[in-house]
Amino acid sequence: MNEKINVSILIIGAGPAGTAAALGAKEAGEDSILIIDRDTRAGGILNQCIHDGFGLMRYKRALSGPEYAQLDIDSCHKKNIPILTDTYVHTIIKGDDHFTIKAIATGRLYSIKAKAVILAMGCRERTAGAISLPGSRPAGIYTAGTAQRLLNMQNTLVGRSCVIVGSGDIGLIMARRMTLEGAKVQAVTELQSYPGGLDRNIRQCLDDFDIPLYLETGIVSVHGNDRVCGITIAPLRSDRTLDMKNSQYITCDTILLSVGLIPENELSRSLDIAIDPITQGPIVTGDLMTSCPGVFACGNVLQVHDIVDLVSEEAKRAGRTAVSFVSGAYADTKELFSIYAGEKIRYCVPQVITPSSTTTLSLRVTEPITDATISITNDATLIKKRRYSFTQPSEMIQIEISVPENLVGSLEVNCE
Amino acid sequence: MNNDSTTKILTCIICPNSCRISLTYDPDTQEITSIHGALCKKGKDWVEQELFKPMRTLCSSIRITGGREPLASIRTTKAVSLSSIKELMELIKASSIKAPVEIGQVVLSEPLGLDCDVIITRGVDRL
Repeated sequence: MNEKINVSILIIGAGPAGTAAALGAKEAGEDSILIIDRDTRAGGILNQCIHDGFGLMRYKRALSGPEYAQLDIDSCHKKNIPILTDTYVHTIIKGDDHFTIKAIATGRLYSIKAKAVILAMGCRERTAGAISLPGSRPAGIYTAGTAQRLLNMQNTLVGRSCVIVGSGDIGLIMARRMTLEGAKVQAVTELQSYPGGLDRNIRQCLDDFDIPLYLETGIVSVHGNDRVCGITIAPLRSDRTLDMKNSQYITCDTILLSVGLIPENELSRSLDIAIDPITQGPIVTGDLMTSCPGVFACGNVLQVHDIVDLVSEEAKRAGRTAVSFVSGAYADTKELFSIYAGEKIRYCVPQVITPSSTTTLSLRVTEPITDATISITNDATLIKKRRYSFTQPSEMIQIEISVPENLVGSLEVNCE
Repeated sequence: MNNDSTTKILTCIICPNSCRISLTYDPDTQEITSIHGALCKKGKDWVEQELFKPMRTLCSSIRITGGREPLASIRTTKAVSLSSIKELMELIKASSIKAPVEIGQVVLSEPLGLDCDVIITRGVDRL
């Protein structure tokens, strides 16, 4: 059966970004909104993030992931914002003054006409192939998020004895979760000299259960034919090669990978939207509009966030600016200036800005830095300076700036 | 620093700031003599608690019978002592609840005599 739908704003993804974007658009006065999600339940990744610590900024209390997600889902229901679940968007076609979105559900095809599209598809995990994990490929190698979904949604504990490769937050959270469910977590390994996840997770997920974290440690080989039987790890020398003399074999039946997230931008690429090579998300303006006018991006599809409260805030902004676009209040003749990540700054979002606007910059540093000073400059003029007693790559920093009227060349963000 | 005091650095887990709080205390009298590095009062209180009796909110899952999904997620309504978590997990693993369940529903009231309830954090509809 074919179904045709006409909406003003179509949102792809009903996770924290999609639902908050819808609420932002609704608050800005838009009534014609539709959210589409491929999962059976709205809420996105938060449904499987059953640990607490969400909502500390927004609600001043620690909620679990599903509780946090449900608050915005409930608000969408209350405000009559429809969420179409079990529906998969496979194509977006750009027309002259609208987009045509093709989606598929069981026994049904949708053709949706929308004036603006908000991308809120989130991200996915890097895999064994993506990091060229050395050794064999037996059963028992999972990304941490897949193991989390199996355990927390489907009641399947993926192994009894496991080593976690990479110290991203999901890996740390899973170290605790697997331990609580009776598995033995032998170790967490990390290539860098500092953990990939937040310090609070090292404390409450590893230290609480005496799980060792081996920093500056690489993988020599995964062992096993049918099922993982062990892993050999070795410390890194200063030249970043493996110190084989000090290698060790750890017996285990499972390996979890927590080695980074990649924004899921297949749909964005199909629209020829420009992608930032570092964030792997769309290049956006301060209004969160991509290089394709009328298409906005927010949440983890734009940049991987460490805190969901910041996702919600960003998404609400995308919702509001999408409304200003569809109502025609958006001037697309605005002059754009680039903003560059300079010294010790890994990336900066947005990548382009407009003069005389207020913009929230999101950025991360390249390495842990004590007494960091981050400055935003235009030519030689200082626009803003912020000090941090300590910051590291696992933390996203946000700085609000007022972009002056008379910009010369580009803006630059540096850290010292 | 005098000889009978110990210095420790603890990473606060209350919020993402992850303050690295350094404190000095007398291991015999358990008296804290100095605290540095907390950005807020909560961190100061937390570190005093953390040193001698760490408290944690336990988040886990509980089996659901007759539901659309086999599990609901749960958490304790308050932090409980870290040392009680193992026993509390055993109790949760031995329990199951009939669908439907809703967010906020109490599934275990003051388990093991602890000063908290265990509540549902992700609802499950009846099959």
